[in-house]
Amino acid sequence: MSAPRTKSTEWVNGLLLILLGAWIWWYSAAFPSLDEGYPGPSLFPRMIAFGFALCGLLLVLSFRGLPTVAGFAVPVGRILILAGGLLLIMLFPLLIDLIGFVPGLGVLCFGFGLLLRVIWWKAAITSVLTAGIIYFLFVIGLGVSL
Amino acid sequence: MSQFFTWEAIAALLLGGLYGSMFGAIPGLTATLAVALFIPIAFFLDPMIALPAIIAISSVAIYAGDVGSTVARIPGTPASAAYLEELYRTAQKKGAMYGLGLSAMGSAVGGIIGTLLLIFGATAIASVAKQFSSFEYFWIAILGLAAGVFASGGSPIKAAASLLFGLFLSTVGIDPTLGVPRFHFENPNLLSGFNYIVVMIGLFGFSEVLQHLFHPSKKEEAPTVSARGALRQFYRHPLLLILKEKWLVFRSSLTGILVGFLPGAGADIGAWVACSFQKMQQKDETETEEETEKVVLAGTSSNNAAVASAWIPALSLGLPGDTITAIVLGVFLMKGITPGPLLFEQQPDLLWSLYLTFLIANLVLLPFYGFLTARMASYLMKVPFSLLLMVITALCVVGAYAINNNVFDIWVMGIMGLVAFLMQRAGFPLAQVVLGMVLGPILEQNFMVSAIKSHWDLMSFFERPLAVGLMVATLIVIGMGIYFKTRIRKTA
Repeated sequence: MSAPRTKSTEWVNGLLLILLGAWIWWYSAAFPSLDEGYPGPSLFPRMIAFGFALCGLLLVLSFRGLPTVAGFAVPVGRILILAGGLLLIMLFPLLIDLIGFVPGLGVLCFGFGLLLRVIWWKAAITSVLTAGIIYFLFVIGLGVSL
Repeated sequence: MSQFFTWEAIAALLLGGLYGSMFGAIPGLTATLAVALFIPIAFFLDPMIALPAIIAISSVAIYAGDVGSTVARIPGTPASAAYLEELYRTAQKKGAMYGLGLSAMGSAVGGIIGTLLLIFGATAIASVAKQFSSFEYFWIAILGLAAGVFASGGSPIKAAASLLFGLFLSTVGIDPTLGVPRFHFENPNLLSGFNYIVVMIGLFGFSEVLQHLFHPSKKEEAPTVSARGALRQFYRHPLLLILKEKWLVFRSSLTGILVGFLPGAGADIGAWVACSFQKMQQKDETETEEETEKVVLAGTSSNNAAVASAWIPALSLGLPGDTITAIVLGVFLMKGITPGPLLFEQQPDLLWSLYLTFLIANLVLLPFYGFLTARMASYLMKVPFSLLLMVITALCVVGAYAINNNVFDIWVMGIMGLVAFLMQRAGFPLAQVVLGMVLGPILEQNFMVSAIKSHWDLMSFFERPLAVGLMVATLIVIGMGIYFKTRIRKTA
């Protein structure tokens, strides 16, 4: 499932880890210390930050030399489909307010069906069945309020 | 024990086995995903019903992953990828029923050996763990982290980064020392930290949907499975081979048990290690028919042995052996059950019902559902995957929402799915994130308690004999990890 890894991608991974480590270190500086001056809530996050920076550095060093920028095509279409899926999830809470959880789940399911290129009527039937089964299983069967 | 023989528990076991067998047989759907999607239901069930169902799902789904390998050369689960070529070749030569029989019977025998060791091993470790103080629990967490780095099968640096990410997620919320909120960005939903189960659903469930949105899989035509002499091919011939190769099965099961015991390793790595050991013993580079079948036996017996042994650290110490036991620990916590030595004193009924479930799953469910799945193999391979992904999306959303009835958890699930998608594409393992999330609070809390108790005299971490023993065990794991990684790199 993972993409082919090159020197450039490992460089980016390494740099991102270093940046994440730096951000955690900076953010945890605001946490208070224990009364005796010993490290308190910041100790553990700072150790994690150090670990991230170390891993990032090792990753960059394990692929010696400067990264090469080879020409590659950005799969815009795929990224848009992925973004569409994420947008549906992010907007789902708004849908719950408008039409309720179970009907909203049907709509969400239908949306994902279309993104997955399922024929619309098959997606519609699957969505209705899925929402129905979830309603019977959780609301009727297990007594969960959705 | 009588609680186990209720019709609800038996129905859960049977339905769990059926669900696991169907789920695992569909390529792309893993045993972990099957268990993760079951969590929203498990949350509302009694532990005596939910836990046997989880055991049945995981035991049968790992075997069912071999259906795709046998019929269409597509591994159903990561564990079956270890002996994909060998199983496919065996099925081509001797028929799919024989290949699947070899897999089911090997898995059943490995699972039974793993269960026997689980019964004795977990009890023994729990009795030692009664003497543990915060110092020992700190070292246990360090041992778990060390094992997690080297048990990933990939780059140790990336495994360490995944572990650190899990540790970081565990720091979100109120800290255990002073009660200071950390990394909550003024959001009240983050004050209690990330819900462990919601994160798991995002990491293992929703990320799968995103993978397929980004990279749709092509459906391959599945050949039909011949029904002639099916019973003999499925049961008799594989059992005769297992009897003949009993030492190989025993050795591979032990390998699976040892690997499964390591936090973060699990059945996938167990199968890879056992198959590699078996391949190393081949005299010639070209595999004979017999050697091919031996590799299949080694892989299948080790993966189910690892499924059982992963429960040893989970039950006795509260450390997950694999992603499935990590989910189970989440179920324990949701139900107010604390895994560890006290569990053995306070809830022996629950433990014995778990052991019994493992035995039933391997003795009865695996051979029965194994045969059923094998007969239905060609139909299962034709299930429209896109429709399944729609259902999985719905289950992920319900799972994330139903636990706290909080829409914020749906967003967390979505974001974790995206993070997992990106991590997988960059080659970072996901199991280590979960391990980090579980070990984080154990590590921090026990370090702080020990440090404050000893007035920050850090030498006190090396004074108690049990703590020193665990430190030595950690060093051994690190040493062996470096040794094996170097050896594998040289061989490659």
